[in-house]
Amino acid sequence: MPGAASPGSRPPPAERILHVDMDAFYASVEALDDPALRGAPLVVGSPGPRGVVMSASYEARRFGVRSAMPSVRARRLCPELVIVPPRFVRYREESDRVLDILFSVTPLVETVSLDEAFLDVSGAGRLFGLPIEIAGRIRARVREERGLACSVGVAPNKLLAKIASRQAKPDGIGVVPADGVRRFLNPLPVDRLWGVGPETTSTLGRLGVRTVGELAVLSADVAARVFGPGPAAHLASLARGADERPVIPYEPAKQVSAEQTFDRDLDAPEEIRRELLRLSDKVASRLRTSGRAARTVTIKVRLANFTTVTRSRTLVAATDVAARVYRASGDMFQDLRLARPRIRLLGVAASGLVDGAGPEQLRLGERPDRWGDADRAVDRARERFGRDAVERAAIARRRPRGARPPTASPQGSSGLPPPGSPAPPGNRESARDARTRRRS
Amino acid sequence: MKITIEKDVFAEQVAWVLRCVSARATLPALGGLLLEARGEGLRMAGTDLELSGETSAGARVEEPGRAVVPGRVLGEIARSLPQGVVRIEAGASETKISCGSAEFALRLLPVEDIPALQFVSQAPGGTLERALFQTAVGQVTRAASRDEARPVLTGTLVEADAGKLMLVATDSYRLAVREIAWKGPSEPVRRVIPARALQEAARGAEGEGELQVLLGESQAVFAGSGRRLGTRLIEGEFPNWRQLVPGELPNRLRVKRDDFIEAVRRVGILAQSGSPVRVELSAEGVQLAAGTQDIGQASERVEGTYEGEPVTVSFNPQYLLDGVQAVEGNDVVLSVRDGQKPVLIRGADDAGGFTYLAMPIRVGG
Repeated sequence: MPGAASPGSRPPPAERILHVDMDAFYASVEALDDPALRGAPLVVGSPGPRGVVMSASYEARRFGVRSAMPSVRARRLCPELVIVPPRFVRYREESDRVLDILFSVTPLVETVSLDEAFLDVSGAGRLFGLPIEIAGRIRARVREERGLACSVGVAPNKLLAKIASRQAKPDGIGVVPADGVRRFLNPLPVDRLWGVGPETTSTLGRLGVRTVGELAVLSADVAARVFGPGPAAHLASLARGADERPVIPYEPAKQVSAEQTFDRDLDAPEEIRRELLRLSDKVASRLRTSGRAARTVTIKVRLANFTTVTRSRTLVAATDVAARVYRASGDMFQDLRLARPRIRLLGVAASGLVDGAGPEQLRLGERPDRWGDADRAVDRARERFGRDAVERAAIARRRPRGARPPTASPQGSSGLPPPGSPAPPGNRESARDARTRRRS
Repeated sequence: MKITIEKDVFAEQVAWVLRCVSARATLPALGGLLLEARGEGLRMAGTDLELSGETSAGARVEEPGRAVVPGRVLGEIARSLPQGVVRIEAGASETKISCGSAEFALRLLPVEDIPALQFVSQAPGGTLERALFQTAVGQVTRAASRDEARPVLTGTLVEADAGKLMLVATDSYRLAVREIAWKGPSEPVRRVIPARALQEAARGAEGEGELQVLLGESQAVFAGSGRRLGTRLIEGEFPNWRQLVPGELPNRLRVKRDDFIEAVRRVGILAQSGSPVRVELSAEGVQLAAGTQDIGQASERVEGTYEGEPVTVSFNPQYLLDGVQAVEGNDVVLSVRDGQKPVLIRGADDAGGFTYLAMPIRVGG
């Protein structure tokens, strides 16, 4: 048998991927730090009329309170709700301690966000036992050493492990045996699949497809007609529970970046701005999921003739807010003063990383804006419904109908000002922000 | 042209006019300095297109004429010449400068390449005491933006009327305003002058007598003592700063200016890469704190008298220092509303003269 190392070694079990997901993480850390909060219906969110729930304790969920819900609505559902403001530095600290536990099992740990990680335990079997035993040990140690609950999914790949941990919540273990994938997936509603958002769910519903099992037997021709051949193939592979992505071990990032080479060169200023916005959004979103903020923004522009320019700017204060990253990248692009550029590649990078949500330097005459809260609400929605569930209107408008799930708010623009417009501080800008706040 | 001039006089004039000559000129002539011998003196002039300057000094003119020489090199030569009389002689292809036994021959730049130097002479304006002008410019221009993305904020707003002159600058994170009493134009005038140019004008305002200020449509000129310095203006609408300045604020701290500056500097050492200094105001005075997880913490208490509710507010320490340092007098008053509104900084005994606002840093999500 190829790969048989030493006598007596068993082949590694096929269910080698673990998804560890902390239960109501932010809220649990708050309850950990303040015993008075334990057992109370508790949410972490920004206070104030525009605040959004970022994490809800299971006591609060009993009242119907959910992540990404406006605090005001949560309060209506549960009048005795306790709302605490977020302390990301603290969550990161606790997250690091939990990671220490995971790393003691295997170096193959991929952190997804402060409260989520994948492990590949194929090599850990000889030391620590079967994956399900490892999962049990991790849960016990997290509970004993950190006083927190987590749920673990054990499965042959990341997609299934993630679904399994969700099924197991709260405080449980879910196993998907390699020979039981169909049995596990078939009865699940389609929206449990990563990337299947509300729009796709309702389209499938109209075709009579409600469960993953029904999706698996949906005719490829019908799916291709409705969703287009690419997305249809993707759906079919999701329905089979197929996922080849490896677990990529964690490395502390020195920078977070996103870049895009275009199939055809961009020349319309509108399009270029939209791409910068999309890349800024991606970068800021990655900063937030890693609990970090960046001091410096860099753009990279490659023209059709392969000339490449980069520009960097250091911000007044570190940020993890898409609107700020976009303002800097848009301004820098504007300052290049390219005359009718044909652009082959655009990139946005954030460096000078610091822990925490990033303090924000306020501006004169500008009411503290809520882009940060808006971004966090988007994160939560994307986490639940997939990457395409929420999109800035400015980015989404361009998409051909039906190509991808549409956006949350079709009316109005994204509200982002065009970069580089010399806007003075004070009333002009604050008026504009006030206007966009109403829209978003 | 052929002249002789006292070395110290020559060196001083060259140094003054060089502030208007670009160090890294895009056109060779923009790095050039015009020498013109006429009547009883030597006139020198230069421009970098933003600033234009001219100065005249007494010299013995043997033969009138003009020459353009490379400015920076002439500056170094003038500084390094031995004491004595300098002789300048411009020929067809070079300008000779000699003093003692030292001799330089500089290649000529074409006279016609230097942009025409023009200074408005008829415009609304007034006169100012030089030292007061220098103080006021120093207080205000530090709040101007250095970010060329919003050109108007890199300028200083000058608002002049019959009774007073206001200087205002803001980079949108802070705002500085200085009011000076003067005898100015009967019709109010508003101009935006590049902050860098205004700083050069203030540095160049050493001299005797009052400084004459002319606020033209496209140029502002500062003149006196045989010198004129003109600057281009910035177009665009300056923010309505009056509505940014809050009225009465409920919480007031009065502290010794120098003590406060020292403490912010010390604590500020641990406010690195954009992390703020926290200012806790209470009946006991003011407690400053800063720190990051990676490096460590700092804190310091400063005695003071405080009226109002306890308030905590965080700042970029430099923004706080810029304001407190600009205040004249022994005591400074900081007024605040809460952690998300600007702090108002004024001298304790300087009711209307200087006002500085700084916006706080909002901490956490």
